[in-house]
Amino acid sequence: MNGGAAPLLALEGVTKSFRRGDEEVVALAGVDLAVARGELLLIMGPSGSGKSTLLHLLGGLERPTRGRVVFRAKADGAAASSDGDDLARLDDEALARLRRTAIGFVFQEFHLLPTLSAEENAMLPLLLDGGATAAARGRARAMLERVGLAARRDHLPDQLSGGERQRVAIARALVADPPLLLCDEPTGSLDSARGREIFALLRELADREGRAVVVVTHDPAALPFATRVVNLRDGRLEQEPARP
Amino acid sequence: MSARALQLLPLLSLRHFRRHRLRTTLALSSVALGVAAFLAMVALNRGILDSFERAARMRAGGAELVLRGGRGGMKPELADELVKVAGVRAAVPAVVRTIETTQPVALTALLIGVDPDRMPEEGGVVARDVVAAFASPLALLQGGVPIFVPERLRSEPAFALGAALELATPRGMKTMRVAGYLRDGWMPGAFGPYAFGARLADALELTSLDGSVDRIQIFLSPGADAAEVRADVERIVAGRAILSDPLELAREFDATLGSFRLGLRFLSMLSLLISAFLVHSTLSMALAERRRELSIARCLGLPAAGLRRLLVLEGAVIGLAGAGGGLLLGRLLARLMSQLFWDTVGSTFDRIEPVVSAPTLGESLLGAAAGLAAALIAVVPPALSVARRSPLEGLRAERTEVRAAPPRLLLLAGALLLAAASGLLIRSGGLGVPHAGYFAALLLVGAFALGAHPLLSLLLARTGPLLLRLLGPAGRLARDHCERAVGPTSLTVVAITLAFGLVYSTDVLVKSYERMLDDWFDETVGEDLFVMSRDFLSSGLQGASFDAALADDVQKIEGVLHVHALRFTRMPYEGDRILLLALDGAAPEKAGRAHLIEGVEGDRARLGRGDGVFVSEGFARRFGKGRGTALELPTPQGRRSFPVLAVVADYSWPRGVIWIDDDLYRAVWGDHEAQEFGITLDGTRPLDAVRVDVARLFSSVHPGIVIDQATVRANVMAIFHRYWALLLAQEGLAVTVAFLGTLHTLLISVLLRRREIALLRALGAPRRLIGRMIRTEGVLLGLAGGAFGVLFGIGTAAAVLRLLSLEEQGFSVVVRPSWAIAAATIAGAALTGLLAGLAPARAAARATPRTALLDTMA
Repeated sequence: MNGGAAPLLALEGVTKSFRRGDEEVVALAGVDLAVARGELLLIMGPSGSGKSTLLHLLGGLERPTRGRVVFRAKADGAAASSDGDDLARLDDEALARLRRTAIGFVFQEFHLLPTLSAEENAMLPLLLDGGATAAARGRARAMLERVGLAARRDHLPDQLSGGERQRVAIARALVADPPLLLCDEPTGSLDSARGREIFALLRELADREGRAVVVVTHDPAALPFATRVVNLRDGRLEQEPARP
Repeated sequence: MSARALQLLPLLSLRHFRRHRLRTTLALSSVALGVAAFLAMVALNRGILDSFERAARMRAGGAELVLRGGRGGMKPELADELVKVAGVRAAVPAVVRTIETTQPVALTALLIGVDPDRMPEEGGVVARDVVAAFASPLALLQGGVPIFVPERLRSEPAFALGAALELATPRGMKTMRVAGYLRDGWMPGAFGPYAFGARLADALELTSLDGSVDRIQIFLSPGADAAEVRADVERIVAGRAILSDPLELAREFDATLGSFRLGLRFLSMLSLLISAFLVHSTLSMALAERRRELSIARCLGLPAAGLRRLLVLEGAVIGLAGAGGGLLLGRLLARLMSQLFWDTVGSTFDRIEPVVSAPTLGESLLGAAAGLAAALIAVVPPALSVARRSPLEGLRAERTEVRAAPPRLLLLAGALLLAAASGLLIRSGGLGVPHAGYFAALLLVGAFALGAHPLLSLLLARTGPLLLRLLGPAGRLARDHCERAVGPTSLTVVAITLAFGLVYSTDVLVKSYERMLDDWFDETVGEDLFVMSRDFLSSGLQGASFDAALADDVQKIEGVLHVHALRFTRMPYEGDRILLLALDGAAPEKAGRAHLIEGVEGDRARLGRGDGVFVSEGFARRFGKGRGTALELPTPQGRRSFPVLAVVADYSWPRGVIWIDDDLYRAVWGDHEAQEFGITLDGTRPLDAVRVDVARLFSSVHPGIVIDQATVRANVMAIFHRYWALLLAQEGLAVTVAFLGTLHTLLISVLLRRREIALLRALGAPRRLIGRMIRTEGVLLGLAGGAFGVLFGIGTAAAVLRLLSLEEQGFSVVVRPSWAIAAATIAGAALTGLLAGLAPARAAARATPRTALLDTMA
């Protein structure tokens, strides 16, 4: 973690429970977690441990049942006040703005829109933010080039391999230059070689560009690339020391 | 609408529409058909009114006021009094009467009799310079009454200059001679294709026994005060005739068809509703299919409000694009419907040349707005529902079309409440609410819209084992899916309900009216033979006249018990047109009975003595003239009051009938003509023998058609069925929209169940089972819609028969549903579902296990 500087994102005493019929299921219980710029944080754990729920809370896609999710960046990526914003208290409009400008999401199943080309998928967050199409297109091309897919920008998702689709998803996540990148099983649908390439890219984003990268995975191939690893079991966090 | 929504529309929406062309086309078609039907009806209604107004203006011949006295008429000398009124430029007596030629051609025409010398410089039924050519005096010396025929008949040998035409008149057979040609122009438009002209005296000789004219056209001087002139004229006329302006004439024509046109408007609204339901179903299911895409957009930062705006914008695009197609289709449909109308209903009442015009710009904008409104109403609920979901919901949930079921008890309660409200209106006679019939029908629409979901659930519950036994696994799977996806499929069932409900209600209406007419015929019509002119029935009981005294000659024929000499006069009455029927009030019972609604048997004798009049049930209710009241009619001596002796059932004229004894009629109006002779036999000779004698009698004086009661009844029923033909066209449209909607629902359903279908295939289900499953779903939707449609149809028919009929015509009709037709309606709906399921079944059967199970794309 960056010594002394306030973390970009922090969970404080977060609990999340769901109602399933008559039963209340506690997905996370009293989780405290901080994420700093420039680190690649791995969240690992068995199936049903609450990893994805934790990621969704970090990204403002879910609201905690109890606790705070403090984000210290404005929607334009600038640093927020030292106190930051509790995502649980923001309205839908504010959360949506954060998601398209300050938080990049990479999903396990890529979740690309099938009718849009790689370039159009990549520029979508900027269009959602009301940006000019030409500028969005230029930025998308730059991101596609960044992930090595410039030559495939006009291809539809069903014309791309799994690894290429994941790169498009990463380009989309980066197009708005967000300080925070959240990745849910980014290599779940890839072979081991492509998986290592993806993790290397993510580590580079953290080291060279100072982004906070949080990766939820149960792929052990991610361990060498992590700055820090935490384990989640039955909704509770077990922390391990950072790895070099 | 935000710029962001407009920017996202091509990427997130239009791209999807283009990719799924068939579905998009179906959605657009639903809107287009609804808009087309709506527009066609609006244009038809306006066209009917325009036709009436044009005909009224032309029949008024440019006159600002018209004096009318019914068939009994006025003396032409009244015009001499009227021309002296300040502000009156000209007062022109005229006749417009039906004539029937026999040789060398047999045709029915209108003869317009007027003196051009009396006409003002401009205007007039026959203008001063309208005669294009005259016959030579030598030709005219051959004898015959000179007449003028339209110029376009010049090339026909029968209408050559100087040609003779034999004419049947109340004074016997007469010869007319073509003395010249009338310039074509507006004349055919006002009076039909055969309109001849003659001087007034000549026309009166050919068409009248007593020299009365049926109208006096009054032309005002420039700058004259119309209201003052009107008051002065009415003072002079003193109740001997009715004074109207051309617009009032048009409104009288319109009143005749008032209920029919209201019905057309209701049907057009129903078509739009059916479209709205289908668009709602289409968009709901399309949104269900796109839930993942929309969730991705939400996860990437599209706010809920932005998603709502985008979806509403999509609905607006569909609405406008569909409306555009509907405008084009509507123009064609307007023309077809107009033609159909004038060939069926329009020909029944008056000779009016139709104004067949395309929808106006205003009507087109109205149609487009209706399509847009229908699409927006359809899209808003699913848009709100989708936008309310959390961003992850679409990614997390399985891709099926199952939605959270709305509370069924609440829906059922709402549906029962609306149905009960409708029933209350129907049973209580409308509770004084204007147009209560339409409200009752709309309440029923609401009831089925709310109740389809819970009713469908109830129907499907516990039918699994039965369907498994009857139809095998395909049937059981089809039923299971319908139950699981009851929300979206219930919308399609509603559309099928409305469409087939329309079909069935039309049948119930027709059968109920038919039965009413049949019963009325059986009860009241006692005559065995009838003599009338060729177009008497098809012209709405008008046609050429006979000398009523011929009845005495017919009475002398062996085997004849009694002869009615019936006179039918359409009269203006309180802004409407009623029928005055002169008949022998003292006729024996065998010659015809009166079905008394209010009155006692002794009232018939009082009618025969001329103590007063009978009125039809419709007349009594619409004008508030029951037994014991009195009504006033214009007569040649001024307005006269007639006591109402009884109220009877008489459905011969929809706006109301007054019965008057023929002796009293002739004494008051001096009109000794008849349009129909009703002959009752004494049973001593066979009917055909008497028919031959009657025909022989008339052939020498005034050939008419001699037909028996069964033939009259059949002809009346044929006219009656023509009246309903227009509704059949509307039914066809509604069923087409329902078919398209079912097809679309099943297609979307197949797409959303790719994985489920693939799993079945992976487990060994053959393709034919998959196909049968989808077709069975179509049949189940059709059966449910058909069954609900029968209930809806009975309810709507009851609303029309008990409320609308009561309000418009003054009598209600007993509802007589046919259960055989009900079964056929349900079968028809099931067949529609089956046919709609063919293409989706083929698509589903093509699925391979591998492709669908993998389905890892986006």
